[in-house]
Amino acid sequence: MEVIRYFERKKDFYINMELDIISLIMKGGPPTILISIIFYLLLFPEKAEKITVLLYRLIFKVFKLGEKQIITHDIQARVNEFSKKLSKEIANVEPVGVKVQWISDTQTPKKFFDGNKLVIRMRHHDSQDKNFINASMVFISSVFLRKSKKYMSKSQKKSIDLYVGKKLFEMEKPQIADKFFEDFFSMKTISNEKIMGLIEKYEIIDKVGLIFPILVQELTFFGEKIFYKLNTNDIIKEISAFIDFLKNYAEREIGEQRLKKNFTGVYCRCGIVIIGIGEKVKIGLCEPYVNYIKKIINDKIENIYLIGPATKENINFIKNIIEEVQSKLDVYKYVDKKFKSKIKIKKERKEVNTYLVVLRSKEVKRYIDEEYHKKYINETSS
Amino acid sequence: MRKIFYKEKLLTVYDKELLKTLKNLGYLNKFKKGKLKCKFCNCIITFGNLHSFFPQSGDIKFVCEKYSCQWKLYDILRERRISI
Repeated sequence: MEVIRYFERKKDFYINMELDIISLIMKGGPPTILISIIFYLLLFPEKAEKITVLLYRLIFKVFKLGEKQIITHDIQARVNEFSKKLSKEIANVEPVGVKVQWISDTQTPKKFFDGNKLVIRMRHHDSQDKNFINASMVFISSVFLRKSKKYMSKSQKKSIDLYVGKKLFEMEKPQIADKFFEDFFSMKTISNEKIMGLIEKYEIIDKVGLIFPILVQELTFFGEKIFYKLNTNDIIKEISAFIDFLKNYAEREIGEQRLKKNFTGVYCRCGIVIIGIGEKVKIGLCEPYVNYIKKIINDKIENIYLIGPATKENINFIKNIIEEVQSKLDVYKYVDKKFKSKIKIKKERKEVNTYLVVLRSKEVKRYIDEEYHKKYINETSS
Repeated sequence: MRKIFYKEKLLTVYDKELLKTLKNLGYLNKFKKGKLKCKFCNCIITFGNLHSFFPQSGDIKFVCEKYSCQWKLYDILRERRISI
């Protein structure tokens, strides 16, 4: 803790140090600049791949070579960069990247028929937007929330994939986001009210920045704690209720106290604790929060999301609460992060810096299907 | 929290190598004669509308570029009946 506080106090010093490093590199001349660039590209391989695409485009213009490399590196760089960013948003998700492999390079007919793998057709890089959309949607459908999707309804799965696709294109190729909307979104959503309704809810949740750090994180926990559960209807209903719970939270006006802050489902049990009410923070009164967290932990809430303004004073206050809670209860700090959210103040959305900490109970319940349990687990233990 | 970054392979075929690949897999003649059909909408697969293909029970299933067919393909991927 002390080390973190020390670095926070020295923030300005480190910003100045960064500027010193840049001026030192410039003074070192071309060799130092070159070494620094190589070092930077090694640290951020996706940036290197994006530069590679530009180089191959130049090579193609002059020599008509490198067509496949343009397609490969363009898709890899963009999908992998997005995937890494996403995994920073969602604490319990390991980033999965993509590696484009040409069937002609590796596959024999026997290997192909044994493999059960999809082969996507890639057009000339004049149609790279189309290639990128096709590859990305195939990738998202098969990789994103892979475990949890087993327990979700068709509309829940489709809507979340569409939403993630939309985020990917907005970030990596904003110019094609509209085209994606026209081609995929409108076609699917307008004809399916359920999907349209869910996407609208994700939009609202995303405004307060909680689509990935809470919704997708909880959905990932779902996938990790349910095993071979055959009756998924109750799980589907619970996911729907949880999406509504987060949507209602995202629509709340600042200061609104009556809203339900805990979600107590069978499989998903989490609570949101808003920390930032003036007086308590000013006098550093942790006790009411600690007692409240103790109460909800006793109610078998597994994940507690502490949210508040990212001011220095409030962050320190939240950290003090966490220290006390950790010393008294069987919980641990899972992750913390700062982000921008648009909260509602007098019916207007206002962008604010927000701080989020996830506390996780050490007692997390897991659910195994009874028949599976009898058949496999009892047999193994006997 | 340190995370491991692993990569999934995405099999692709390039336009210029499509005919060669279909020949290797024994489907070129059917393709040229217009006998390959989309798994979902049953339309004839051509060079202009091919989206993807995958093996199934010793045969190859082809998917056309219609958005409705792409969505059916994504359903199969989500259900993990085929993989990337």
